[in-house]
Amino acid sequence: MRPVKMVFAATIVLGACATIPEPGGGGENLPSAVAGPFRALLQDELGNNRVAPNAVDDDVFSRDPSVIDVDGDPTTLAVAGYFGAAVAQGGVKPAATDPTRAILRFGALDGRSFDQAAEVVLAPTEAWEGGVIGQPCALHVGAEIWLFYAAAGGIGLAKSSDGHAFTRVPGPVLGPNIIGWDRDAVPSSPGVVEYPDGSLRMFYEVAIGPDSTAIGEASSSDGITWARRGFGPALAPSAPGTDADPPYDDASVGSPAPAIVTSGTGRAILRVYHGARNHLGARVIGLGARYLDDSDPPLQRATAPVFGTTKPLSPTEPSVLIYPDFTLLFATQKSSTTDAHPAVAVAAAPALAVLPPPDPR
Amino acid sequence: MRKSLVLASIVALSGAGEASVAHANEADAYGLGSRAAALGGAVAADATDFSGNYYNPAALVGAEGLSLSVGYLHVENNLRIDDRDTAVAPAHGIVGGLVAPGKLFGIPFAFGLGTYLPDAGLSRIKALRQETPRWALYDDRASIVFLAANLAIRPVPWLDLGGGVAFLAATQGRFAITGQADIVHPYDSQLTHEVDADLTSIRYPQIGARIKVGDLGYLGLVYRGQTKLELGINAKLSGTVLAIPLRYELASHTIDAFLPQQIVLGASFQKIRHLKVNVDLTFVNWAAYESPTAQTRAHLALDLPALMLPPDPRPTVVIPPAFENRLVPRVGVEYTLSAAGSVRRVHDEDHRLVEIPLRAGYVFERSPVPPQTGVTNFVDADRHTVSLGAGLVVNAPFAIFPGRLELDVHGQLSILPERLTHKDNPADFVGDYRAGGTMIGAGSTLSAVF
Repeated sequence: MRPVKMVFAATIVLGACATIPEPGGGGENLPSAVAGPFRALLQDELGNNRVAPNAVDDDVFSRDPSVIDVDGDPTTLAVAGYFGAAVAQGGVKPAATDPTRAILRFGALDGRSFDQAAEVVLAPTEAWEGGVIGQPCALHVGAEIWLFYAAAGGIGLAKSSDGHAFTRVPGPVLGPNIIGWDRDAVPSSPGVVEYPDGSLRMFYEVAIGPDSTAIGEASSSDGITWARRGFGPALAPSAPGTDADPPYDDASVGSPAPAIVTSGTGRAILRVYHGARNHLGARVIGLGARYLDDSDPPLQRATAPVFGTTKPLSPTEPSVLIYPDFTLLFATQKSSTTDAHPAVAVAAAPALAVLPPPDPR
Repeated sequence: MRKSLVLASIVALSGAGEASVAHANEADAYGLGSRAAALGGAVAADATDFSGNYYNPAALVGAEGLSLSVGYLHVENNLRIDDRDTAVAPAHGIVGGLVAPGKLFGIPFAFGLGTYLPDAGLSRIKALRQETPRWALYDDRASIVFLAANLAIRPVPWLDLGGGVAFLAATQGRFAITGQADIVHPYDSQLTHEVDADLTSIRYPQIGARIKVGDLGYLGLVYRGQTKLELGINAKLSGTVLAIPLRYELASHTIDAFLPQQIVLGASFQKIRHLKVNVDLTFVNWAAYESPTAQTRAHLALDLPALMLPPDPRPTVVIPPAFENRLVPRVGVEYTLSAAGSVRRVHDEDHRLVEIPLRAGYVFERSPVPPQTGVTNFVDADRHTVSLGAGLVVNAPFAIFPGRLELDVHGQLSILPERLTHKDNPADFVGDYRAGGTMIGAGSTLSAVF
């Protein structure tokens, strides 16, 4: 039996040497659609003297962001952000509740830490605008930057070759509908995206009740003439749930921000980030999406909100910048839990995303 | 409130570290012993060495003499998703066992022990949400101690019967933190913690039969029972923050290391001297697979009537994984060269001093994981495994050692062709992905047959 004892002894000794486990594996490079959920940026991820998570927080209450890559190349970080802002009226500083009366342009070398100074790129001049413009949506179309915006009479368009000097297209490009589910309601908060075939899709917010909005959809080949699509909203508030399990969007959905991405297996996907509110008044950012094919299937909701569930800051008016390994979300929300004036927060997905170093200024 | 949230976070993280995921065992995935692994595991009718403790307990009674084996196995996983290595941990550990044959009331019998001891720790577990992608059948699967003990008899010359019990390690534990926490001056905190964890074992049966078919060879039939590790953790935080008593409780329960019941039918063709051709077909009951998702319950209680606490987190709704049963074919061929030396008589058979067995095997394992079109992300792909091996047998090398020394080595390559996962919901947070990869393994086993 001596050999048996020797084998057992050796086995026990070898096993005893190995009771401290190595780190577990299998958790690296896991797939992610980088669609959400988003986490607010931390202070060391923001530069330019910005206070996280707010990429913009100023005394004209710049808000409702639309952020685009300056050169259209996702490997470079420089971006331009277009924001609606309040302006002084008769020498009186604006209040946080004032409507936006100008569109400002901020730059950010690192893609999120916006400059402290901005330039006014558009102010209301047309009668149909009613002295109010805001909720911009900027996008590259060919060599130009097109800026859709909301005004009192509907949605307008201005074009620029350099992103600074814009020239209006006369009149609203999308006004109230004369028939249909959104009859007489003024569309606002446009979100426009270019489809792979070169056509444009606009998603817009429209009131469907005293305290409720939905998202409509229209298409265009030139950005000027738009045709509404479908016989109902592209996305409507969800059906009511129970108080124990309330939906996050059973009261209102709006402020759409569309983007087209390609899945890990090459399928084209339209994502529509949007603001959502439930019947308890809680606001979050939600996500609807559809695969692009010949038909226009309904937008499917994500299983959960993508931003705004951890703190009651009421985010809305999202804008996204999609990079290969992460996505940045910009949204208007309360500056902090103790200060309700609007600011623009920035968040990242996936949660473990490591962002490039911030602008050191 | 901020302070209590900090404390709650500490406990939640600690608890999560004790929940789990991991599946099956090393013998099932990579083979037990170099000879069996080189033959693709097609040894249900031909496992007369210590590997019979896993492949067919009945075959142990075919052992020629008392044998002791010890060896080592290392498998590198290169499992990729979207062309990126997911760093699934390699499997490596010590294999070994013994077979002790004899006679009881004139009936041949054998006792066997077989084991796999992971040398990266005896147990490793981790927590994953069911949405989190994970290689369902290979991630951390070898982090489990495997031990089997069997008995076999030969009631009639053409029939071997055997059975026994296999063991897997499990953990069950709890911890508690009590005391006074001062977040502003953390060094002034007075906290005590208790950890009470047991490494227990679970058992499952395995039985087998082996029938001698004239001089053609053997047929084998094996049943392995289903088993799983049920892991639980109960965490309790009781303390005082700003003179406010609070209590946080966390309970988590999960299933780990699920091993499905299996039925194996095997044949070993041995009519031609020095040549063995083995074929096995295994039915694997993966349809009984239980989700490893942790079911967690948490509750925060604060004795401050004026403060509204957030509701308890919603309990996880575990989605049934709906794995599918599968049939696994295995083929193995062994040819023994009589290489050198004079003829020796070992266990009533003539052998030359040095013999060199050459081995090859193939296994195809269709993935039991259904298309992951929904929320869950059990990543898997079909698996083709080819293996090669060789041995060096020295028969009766010394006058005082009339038995045999054998050193077996093997290498195996598994190829998992890329599998596409397309999500039904375009707003899925994980999205579409491609998964595939390779596994490269090697091992050796040294045996002494007395």
